[in-house]
Amino acid sequence: MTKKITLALAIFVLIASLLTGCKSANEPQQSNQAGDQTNDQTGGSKELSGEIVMWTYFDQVKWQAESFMSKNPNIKVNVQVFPGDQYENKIRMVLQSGQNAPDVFDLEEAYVGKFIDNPALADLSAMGADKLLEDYAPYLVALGKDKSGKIKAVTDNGSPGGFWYNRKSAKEYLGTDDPDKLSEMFSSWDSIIKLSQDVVQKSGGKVHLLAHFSDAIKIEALSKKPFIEDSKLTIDPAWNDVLDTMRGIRSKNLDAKLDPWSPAWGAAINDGSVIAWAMPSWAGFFIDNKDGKANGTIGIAKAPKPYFEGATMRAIYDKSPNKDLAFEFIKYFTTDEYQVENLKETGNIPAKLSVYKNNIDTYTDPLFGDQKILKTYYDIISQVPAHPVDRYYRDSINLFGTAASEGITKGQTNEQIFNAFREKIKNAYPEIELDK
Amino acid sequence: MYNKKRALYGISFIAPFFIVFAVFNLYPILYSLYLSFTDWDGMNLPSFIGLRNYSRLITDTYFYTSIFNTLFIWICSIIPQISLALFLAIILNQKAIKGRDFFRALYFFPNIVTPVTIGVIFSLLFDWQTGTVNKMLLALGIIDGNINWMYSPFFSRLIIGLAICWQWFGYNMLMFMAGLQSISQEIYEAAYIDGANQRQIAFKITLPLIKPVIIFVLITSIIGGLQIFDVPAMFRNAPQDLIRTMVMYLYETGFTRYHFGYASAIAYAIFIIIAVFSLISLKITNANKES
Repeated sequence: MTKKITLALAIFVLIASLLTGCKSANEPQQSNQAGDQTNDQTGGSKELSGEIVMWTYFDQVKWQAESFMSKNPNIKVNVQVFPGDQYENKIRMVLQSGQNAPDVFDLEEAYVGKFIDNPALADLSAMGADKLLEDYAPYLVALGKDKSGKIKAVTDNGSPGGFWYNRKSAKEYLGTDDPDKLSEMFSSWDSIIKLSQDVVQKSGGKVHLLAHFSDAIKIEALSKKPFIEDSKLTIDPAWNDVLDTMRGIRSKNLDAKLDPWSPAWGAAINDGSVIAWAMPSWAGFFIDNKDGKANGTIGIAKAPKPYFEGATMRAIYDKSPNKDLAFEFIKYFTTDEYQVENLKETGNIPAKLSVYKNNIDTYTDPLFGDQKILKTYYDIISQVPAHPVDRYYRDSINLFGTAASEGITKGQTNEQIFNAFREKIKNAYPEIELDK
Repeated sequence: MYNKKRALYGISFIAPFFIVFAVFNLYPILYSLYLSFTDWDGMNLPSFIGLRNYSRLITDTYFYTSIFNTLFIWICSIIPQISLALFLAIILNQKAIKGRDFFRALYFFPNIVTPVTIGVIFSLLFDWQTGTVNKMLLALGIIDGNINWMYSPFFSRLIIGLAICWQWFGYNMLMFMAGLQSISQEIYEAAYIDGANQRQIAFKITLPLIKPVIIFVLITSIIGGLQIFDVPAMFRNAPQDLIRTMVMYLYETGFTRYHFGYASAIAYAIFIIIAVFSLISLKITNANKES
């Protein structure tokens, strides 16, 4: 009998251990909230206390949490980093199930539109986020709004994009490495094509102005009408000019034909065989700057259109028992004090316009020598068009970029490229009504 | 009573496997069957839509293209893979060959390299602008300008097929060698005494006797070959329409677009396709046996 009981117990323990989801040590604990919060002069909260769980794909958040906790010693932030492209899937699943969901979590700009209308994201407007973002660049505010105009996610960085250029090559082949002069020279695609021809001619084809014609897509996309609105596809006729420009660059062999983000593309950044690349502000890790050897060798100029690429959006889980603590955490990243500290410590370009204005004449980054990069970025960030995002916005741009890059390489006409794009949309989003 | 007790012990010993199988295999299999009848984005609750995913699949040209791509790549891989493996196995099975162990290890080496690494290596080798292959052909004067291998419908698939072949020929070679070593030496000795030459021995004795191994290799290659994913997925510089395999399409649908319902329907379609191909190969084999 004893044996039977022992056996039954053993089987029970085995089954229980397999079927029972281990309760995570990271599971949010209820915060202790002693009345209304009051902030001290450093932006920290004296009254709120407790622990929150933060999920991110971005390792630097650990530093950000340390910064927050130094100002808010009563609030502990437990940062969980999930690098890699499975993060999006992980956060999607946890929000759906509600099991072990974090209190606060990051969403990349590339896919924030897929989450923004989900009720699992807390309404930050109701918590006072609109006031925090009054001095933000408008496109960054729009990026975190759902379809009803409520703020659901907030970023601390602007991620403006421009042409990063190799100063030595620019001086040799373009005659100047001055960012203002180069911004003027890069102000139109006609001018860029002309410069590209000069560079190829002067270098005997060994040096190119651009790595790949597809830079035009990301620079131009935000200035065009969104492809999908009200479940209908429309293609802005202005894309014809962009495609013609891209075709002109490729047909005359004016780009280096290096696929963006490929190893060869990365190598060209460092060896100077390509002069300029359309890059977001966070792309410094592509530069081989071991022991500061690249310091002062790179400059930033404005592209023909103001644009941005990538931004870390931060949201709160609506059913979190620690929403107040989580909002305190988010609020901290919208302060001038933090964004200046973040700029100086990590080089992340701020989201708040006042931070630009107050540091525009003083801030320099060793990589860019004595260039006042906030001046260049301020011109860009204040002009980037604001678009409401949804699940289609960024993905449709990506699909168009793929159709355009492949089509131009294959020698297709604009209409063939548009048709290929329509096919891609039809396959990815069968619910969308096509324009043809 | 004694038998009952024994049975209980037996069940308790095999229970862990069945519990693990039920939780981690059977449940996901059945749940994905259920999902294939739903529309689910992973954030809201699945909504039942009947056979709509399957009717969409039947008219989905992307899916048919992915089947074609998979078969093309598989054929480019399997023919040289099995031929090379068999040829090398027969050669290395000769006692007269020196350094057999070294070559066995050498040929098996690509199999321990991760498929992702193999994909990246071949992708870099055949890069349009900076790839070693183009540079070599240019240096030898065989081509006048760089070839954009990845934009060629034929070469892009062929290169992926060869990458998979390179990865697996060593493994299959070992399988064939195991089969060869199981053949009794007496048969070979009898053949020598009867005056058979090496070619006759290979075709009349060796190949017929290792037929079960060839069938095993063929069927496992069909099952594995129709599920190829990681090697082609690393060819980011190729138009995806040319190299998208069935499993890549499944992944893209499920984990890029988050159409889990439709992705589940694709998964079941892939299962049926693999089952059909496996049955055909079994049928052919059995037919040969009967004849």
